Amino acid sequence: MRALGKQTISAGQLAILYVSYMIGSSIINIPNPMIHFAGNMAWLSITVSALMGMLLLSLVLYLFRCYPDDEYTACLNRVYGRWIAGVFIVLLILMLFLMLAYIILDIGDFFTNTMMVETPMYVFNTLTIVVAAYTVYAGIEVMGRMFFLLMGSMMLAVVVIVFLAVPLTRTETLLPLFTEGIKPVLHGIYFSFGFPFGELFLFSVILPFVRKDSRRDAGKWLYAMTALSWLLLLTVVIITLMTLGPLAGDRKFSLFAVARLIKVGNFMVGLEAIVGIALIAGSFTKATIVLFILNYVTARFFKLDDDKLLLPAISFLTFLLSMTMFRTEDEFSFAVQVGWPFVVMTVGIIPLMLAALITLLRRNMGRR
Amino acid sequence: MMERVLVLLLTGVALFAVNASRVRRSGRRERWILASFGVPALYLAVMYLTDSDWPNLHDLANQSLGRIAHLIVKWLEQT
Repeated sequence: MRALGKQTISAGQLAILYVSYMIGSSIINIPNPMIHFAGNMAWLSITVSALMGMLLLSLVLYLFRCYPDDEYTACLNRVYGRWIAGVFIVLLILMLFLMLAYIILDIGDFFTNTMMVETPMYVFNTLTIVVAAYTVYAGIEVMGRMFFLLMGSMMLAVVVIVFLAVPLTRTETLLPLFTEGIKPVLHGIYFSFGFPFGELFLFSVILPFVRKDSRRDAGKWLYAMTALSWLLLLTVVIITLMTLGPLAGDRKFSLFAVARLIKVGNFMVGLEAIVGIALIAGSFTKATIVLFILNYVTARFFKLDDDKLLLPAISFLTFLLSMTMFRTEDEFSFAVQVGWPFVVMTVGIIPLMLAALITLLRRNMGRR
Repeated sequence: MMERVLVLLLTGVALFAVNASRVRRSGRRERWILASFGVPALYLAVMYLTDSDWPNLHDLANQSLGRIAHLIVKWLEQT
């Protein structure tokens, strides 16, 4: 296999991609189920999940330091050997197909539930996957530069909603605490660790693209962006709770629902339309990053010279999955809220944790 | 049905058109690997066109890891 010309990114661009990935779709999808599961203690669940995410990130960075020039698949091959690593990589590829299909379905779900209720879902799914595929074709350098603008607009939209929603908030909706004991908090942790904090392990695939002169700062940026992701999600969850009160756990896309309530004088109404587009841009960035990772892992698994050869096939398969997997929204919600966190933990996090442990033991015993 | 055929055609053309030159330049092994992706694509395409409820990828996840996840969540929901 000939050596591939590789695009590289700076630590700052890595940070942009990372924060796009972490809060892209979670900022609009997290508040409702979190509040549904954990109630007024959703803030605690998010915080604990973020701390667990930081620990997971330390393992990701440790493996990157031990194998700085290896792609993630090569790193797994080194640790586990070809056959066991092969099984883990196949499971990872299947997981990524599922993840990407879920994100695309979620984008279509958002539009058909909120702003464009009579438009068929395939319009949104097709447009998302085609634009994402062309973005991945452009390469990770282009993604890193482009997503700065998209994420900037999204974060601006979130900040605007949060500030304008403050007059509508009621602090009494944050109480009482621990009404049903610790299990709701644990349930919230189970969900929010699976989505989005546990998913950060996938950035093991992106880290080797960071330029060598920028790698020293990569860890600091990633920790800072994890903290930023936590802060944004926490703020959104609290504002949602304080604005929507008991309804917060029942309203899908609750941040959009908060935006609907905002009226400034009699002239600034209907902000949710602009805000909705900015919010869904975040989901698009996450879809693109996941498609990039899926394409790259698949190309490395098959040891292809051209790492974009399979991109259309992967994109087309994902589109078909998004159109055929679920009959009802309840089935989709169940898959994401119940099954998905466990899939992330078993297929993604456990192999990575074991790889870090095995690497640590080998290094301590003087073997590499 | 015709609407779905059109959707598949348009999506396929939009995705694969840009790849034509890459496929022409690729070797035999790469073409076989690309062709192997056609098997699940064909299965899912037929499922989509006929609006059938055949086994899918999420069923694989639900029937395996999903069962354990369901037990965990059931325990977490008990008060």
